Amino acid sequence: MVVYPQADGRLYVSRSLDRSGHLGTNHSSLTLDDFAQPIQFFDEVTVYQVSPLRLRELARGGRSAGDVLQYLRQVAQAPIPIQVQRTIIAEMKSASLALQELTVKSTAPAADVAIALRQEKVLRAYQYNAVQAFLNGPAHGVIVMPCGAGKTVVGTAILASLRMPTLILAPNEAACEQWKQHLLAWTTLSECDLDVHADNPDKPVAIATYGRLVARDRQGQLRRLERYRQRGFALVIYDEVHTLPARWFRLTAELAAARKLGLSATLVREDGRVGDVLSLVGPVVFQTQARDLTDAGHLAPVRCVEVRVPLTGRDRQDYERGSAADKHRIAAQNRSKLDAATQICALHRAERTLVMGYYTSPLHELANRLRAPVIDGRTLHSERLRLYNEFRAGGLTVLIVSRVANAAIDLPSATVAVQLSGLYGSRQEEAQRLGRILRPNGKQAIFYSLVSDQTVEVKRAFHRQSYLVEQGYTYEIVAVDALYRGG
Amino acid sequence: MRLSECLNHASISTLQAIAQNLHLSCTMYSKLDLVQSILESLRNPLSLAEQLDQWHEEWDVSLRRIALHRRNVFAKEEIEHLLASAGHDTVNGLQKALAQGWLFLQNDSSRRRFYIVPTDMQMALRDDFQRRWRARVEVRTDDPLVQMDEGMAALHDLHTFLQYVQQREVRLTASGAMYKRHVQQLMELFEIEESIELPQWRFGYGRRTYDYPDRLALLYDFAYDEGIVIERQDERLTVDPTRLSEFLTLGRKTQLRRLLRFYVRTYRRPIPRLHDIIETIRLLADAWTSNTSLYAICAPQIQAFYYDQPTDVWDQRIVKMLVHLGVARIGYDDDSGERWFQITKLGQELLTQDEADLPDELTYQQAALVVQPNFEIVVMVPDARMEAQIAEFAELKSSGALRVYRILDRTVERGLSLGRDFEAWRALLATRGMAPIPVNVDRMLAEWVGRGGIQAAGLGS
Repeated sequence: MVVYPQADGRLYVSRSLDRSGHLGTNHSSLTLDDFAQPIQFFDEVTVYQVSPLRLRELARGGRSAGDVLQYLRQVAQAPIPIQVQRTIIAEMKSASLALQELTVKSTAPAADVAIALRQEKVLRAYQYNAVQAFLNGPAHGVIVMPCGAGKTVVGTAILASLRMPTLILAPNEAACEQWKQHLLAWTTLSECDLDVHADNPDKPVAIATYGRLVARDRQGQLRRLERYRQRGFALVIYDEVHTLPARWFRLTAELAAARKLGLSATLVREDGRVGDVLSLVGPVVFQTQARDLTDAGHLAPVRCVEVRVPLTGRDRQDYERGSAADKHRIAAQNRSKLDAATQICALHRAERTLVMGYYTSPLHELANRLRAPVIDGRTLHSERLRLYNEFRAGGLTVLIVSRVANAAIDLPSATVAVQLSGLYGSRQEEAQRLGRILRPNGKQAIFYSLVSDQTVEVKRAFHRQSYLVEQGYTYEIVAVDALYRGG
Repeated sequence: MRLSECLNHASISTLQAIAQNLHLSCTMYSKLDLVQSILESLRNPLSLAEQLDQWHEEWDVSLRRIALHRRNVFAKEEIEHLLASAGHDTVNGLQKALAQGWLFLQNDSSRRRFYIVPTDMQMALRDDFQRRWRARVEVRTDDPLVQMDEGMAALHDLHTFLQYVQQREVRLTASGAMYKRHVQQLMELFEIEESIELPQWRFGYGRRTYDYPDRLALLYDFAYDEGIVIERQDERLTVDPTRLSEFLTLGRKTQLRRLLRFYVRTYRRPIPRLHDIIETIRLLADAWTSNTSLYAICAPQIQAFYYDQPTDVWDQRIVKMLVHLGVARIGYDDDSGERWFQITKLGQELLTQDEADLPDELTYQQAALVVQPNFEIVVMVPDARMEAQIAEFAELKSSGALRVYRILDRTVERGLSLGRDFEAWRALLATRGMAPIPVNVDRMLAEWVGRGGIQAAGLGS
């Protein structure tokens, strides 16, 4: 292993270019992962970023900046930039000073909730590590795990360990329902301990959507937020914390709690406000990458295929004449995409397929062709749950969803995903949607993105994919004809 | 020429004077006897030490300058001048030195007179100084926590600067300086950033000291001096491609050594003893040496230069610049504590080896770069000529231990519009890459250069 440190704190690590082969002398027993976090996973060169959080953790574990610098000087191919040295020293110094401030005060929470994990439920090693990282870390923290890695499991285990009155915030009703089912299945809590939008202050665990929490009544008052604030939850779990719209951040972060846990699959936002998540909820205390979990067999491997669909005829003419906004819409609603999607469903007729899109009218048109149901913003809550359950149970092979189902819905049985159109160049949405089929069911999944060829969508798709590419995924780009030649 | 040879060439009267000075009890009329007795005496460590003590007392600064001098042969005026710095009047001083056995008069066939310090005597003088100084400097054996070591950053940033001038339209002000915008952009690209807020008075340290911060000024002046950058009449800065490619064919250490030489040449005007100071440092600071104690030894050679006090000259003009040049590194444990100074391995090489002997770690045909799936080109083995070609269709993103370029649609477009050879560029990535170009990158490149969109590939898994 050879490490090239950069002034911005990035460490480029090459495993193949080891000319000195000197890593045998690793007597300090440190590893890069102890103080840096991988941010780009490539075969030749993996890129790490020096992580203040890990440095502080290391300092709390009794290591000194001298240890880290000594190790780094051993493995580095060039002098360590002075900025990097300063960061390492400053973070490790502050860790010892801030130790008292950050850890939870030993004052016990007001009420002790009678909850325990069911005995037969066992955490995987990385899930256990995530739980421990939060329990032993700062009072407020974020855990980042890819979809399908079991964020709900981790949240539940933390809840069961802390035994505190808890509020769980999730992005939508289906996700709330999922939390409820999960808590019932994994813990000793019973239905009467749970409060899903019921506003019953006697119940120790409440589950709500962000939307309901910050909803205003007719007088424009944030009544529910106020009531929750008075109930004084000791633990607040922010599920899919990165999806919170910016203006909701401050409101929800106002909830005072002894401990706050953020759960996220992708800490990336097009508005660049990832920092808000970290400052309002807390720092990342644990992170694991899809690629590692795939290698370890915890997640199904995924093939990503970008299918280029030509935009022709009237659509092309309209496209050429249209404004920038029109161009996006026309390219997204390219009618040829419906043919392609139909063909993909035919290719995978034995598998459960999830079709996702941004614009709803093409979704409905496709639904008619495929005789498959659609879930969009207008679908009733109960209907949504019924369809999800039916899809999970195998009664449905194709389910078509709008962006309401981007996140936080467990659809473990889907092995094929088709993305008809997306929200501009959103890297987060791309990762979320891929996450719908990232499940631990062993079978290789395929993620198709339909992109109108020679339109703005090509560039958008390129941007959307960049986050996943850095996570080590590769996209095959194929022409639409390839679908018809059999796969 | 060694001492024995000098003695053999010396006149009998010179030998007699030396023998008297050394209080030798030999026959004063036999040359052979004289030569042997003097040699015996000066080769005996004990009696030599005694003489050295006496010479130190007598010659002090002069002796130091002669010991550290690059040459051991001097013209008459030169040696008189050197001896005069110890306060002797010229005629008596010279006579006195010639009678002591470390300086000899040399007549050659052209009847020109030279004064020579035998090589073994110069070495002995140098060793003696080194021993005396070592007793006075404070060293440490453990490593300081923080170490400011810039390695070959100066060279990398010089290349970045030249690449920048080549790629962009760099306009100059009426006084011939680059606009601030350019300087700012350069600082963002440079491995080592300097503040571009300059103090009021700036002169003496090179041609463009007034316009740029110290390090950039040195790089700029060097490039100008080498004829690589040209300030054109129409207020534009350009690169002479022939000069540049000549320069880049040199080994990297050779290039850096030229820059170091240029530094000494330029800064010698305000700091006349710069060469001696660097030589002193080189002899002493092979271990981590306290800055204060090192300064105490060099201080007699350092004078104020206008507003620069001797300590400013030491800190800003010598130590800081040697760190920039990769010759030395500075270490400390906490911000307020003592600074420690050490000559780097690279520095030892640059200061002692001739150009031809400088080893260069670079072998040109080996794999040197990686194209990453996120469109970054990571240059693992630095090679300025290769990078100049990479930059035709990519732009520098960050520099440090390795340099990272990124490929964007607009950089490819720019390369095409300037008529650069895309196929040759792609071939470079393929042949010098440690791995094949990732498929997604290759596809996108094909699209950007308009080679007919996506080829219909099969969907086989």
